[in-house]
Amino acid sequence: MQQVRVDRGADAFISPGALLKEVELLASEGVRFTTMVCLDVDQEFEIIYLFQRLTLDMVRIRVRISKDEELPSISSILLDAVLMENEIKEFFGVRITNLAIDFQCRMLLSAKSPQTPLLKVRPQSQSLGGGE
Amino acid sequence: MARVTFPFGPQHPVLPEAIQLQLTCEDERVVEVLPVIGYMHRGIEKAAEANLFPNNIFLCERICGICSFIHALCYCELMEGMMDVEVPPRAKHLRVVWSELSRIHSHMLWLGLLADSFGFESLFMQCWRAREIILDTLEMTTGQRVIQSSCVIGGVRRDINEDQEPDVRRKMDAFRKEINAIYPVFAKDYTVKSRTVGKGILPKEQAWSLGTVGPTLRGSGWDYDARTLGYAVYDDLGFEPIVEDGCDSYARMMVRLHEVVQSLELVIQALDRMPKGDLAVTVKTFPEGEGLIRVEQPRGELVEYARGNGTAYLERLKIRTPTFSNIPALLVMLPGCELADVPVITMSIDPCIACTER
Repeated sequence: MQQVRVDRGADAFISPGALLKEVELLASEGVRFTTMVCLDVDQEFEIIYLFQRLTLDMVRIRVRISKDEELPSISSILLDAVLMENEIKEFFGVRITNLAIDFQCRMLLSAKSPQTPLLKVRPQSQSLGGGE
Repeated sequence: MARVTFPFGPQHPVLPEAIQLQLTCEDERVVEVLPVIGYMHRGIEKAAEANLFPNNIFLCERICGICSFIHALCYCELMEGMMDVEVPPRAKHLRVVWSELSRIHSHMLWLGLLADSFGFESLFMQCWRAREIILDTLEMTTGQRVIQSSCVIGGVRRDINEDQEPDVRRKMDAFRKEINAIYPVFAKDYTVKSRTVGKGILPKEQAWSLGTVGPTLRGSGWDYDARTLGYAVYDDLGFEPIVEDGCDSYARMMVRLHEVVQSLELVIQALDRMPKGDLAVTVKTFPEGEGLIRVEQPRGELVEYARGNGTAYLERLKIRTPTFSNIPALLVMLPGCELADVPVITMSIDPCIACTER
């Protein structure tokens, strides 16, 4: 049976600066991109990168950035990440740089759509507990 | 030679849904392509955060009308995994029956559309006529032809009772006769082969590295099918992925054609092995922590991630649909092809834009 529950302890937490090197290493091992998940956690974004090994096992990498910090695109290494990176940029306002194809926040939303609609709207005092 | 860039879609006779391909051509040859989406985004992931988590089943079913049952199944299995809910065996078998019926009607719809894309109208109508048998079976067993609403967290809502089961088997026999007549036309007919063989080549290495899934991946020689990962009761049914190594539109078509026959056998197997017992268990907890699941849609691997906080609302539901992963492959398949082959090659990934845009 598939293991559905995610064990955060099994994931690699890396800094944004180490992201490209880590992805290059994974790509050289034949790992491919599956998807990305962005979480709005208080003053930060937590971005989970999901990859698939040739054995079909999943590899998860987590990167935490502050909301005004830039995140390098991995699309120069794994091109198929470009659509998901554009989506995250558009829906959360994550400042992803050097996208192989940049839809300028108009991939899924129009000029009249709500901006960054997946950002949490929460009262000043409310906290999600830092995602731990 | 002068280059001309023009839009293919979003409204085009061959496209069942709205997607635009910005094609750059030299004479009749495509040299560049840029897929453009964004015509039907509905904000389903956002809506999922505002719904009570059991009600998200109805939301997920409406991501796509063609594979609605498997969207609901995926979400239910995700929630069940996060809450350690054990689904009764009879419900697992019923989930396989309805999943495979959904796969058959999706593939038959696609086979008809493919025939339509190269002008084989009688074959298109024959496919859709055969598909009606499957839709009738879904209606008979769930009450609905398209959105079944039969999957719940903890099991299923409906049963296939002893009176209905012989009817289901009779319908499967009727469908088998139809597919046996259709199969050789797709596999051997000169027109079909001349429009699909060698068209839209996706080399094996690139099929993997570009992240393709489903028949698009398996048509390039990879034997990955999420049903082998173990959900519902596929483990017990001796399931083996269908693989073709032609790497072209014909290979992708043959994967789907073989899968129709395979799904038919899986329906019969699930009916044969279905134990008596409960349809569902009562769920009294709320999802907490993070969950991740992969299931196999007709178009390929569907990935769902959820994060719960122990309340009735999810903090996040992420849905990665198969077409989202298959669109980048068009950047490899289309450049170099004749303009007249663009419809068939585009159809060969079975694009589902409703799924893609959610």
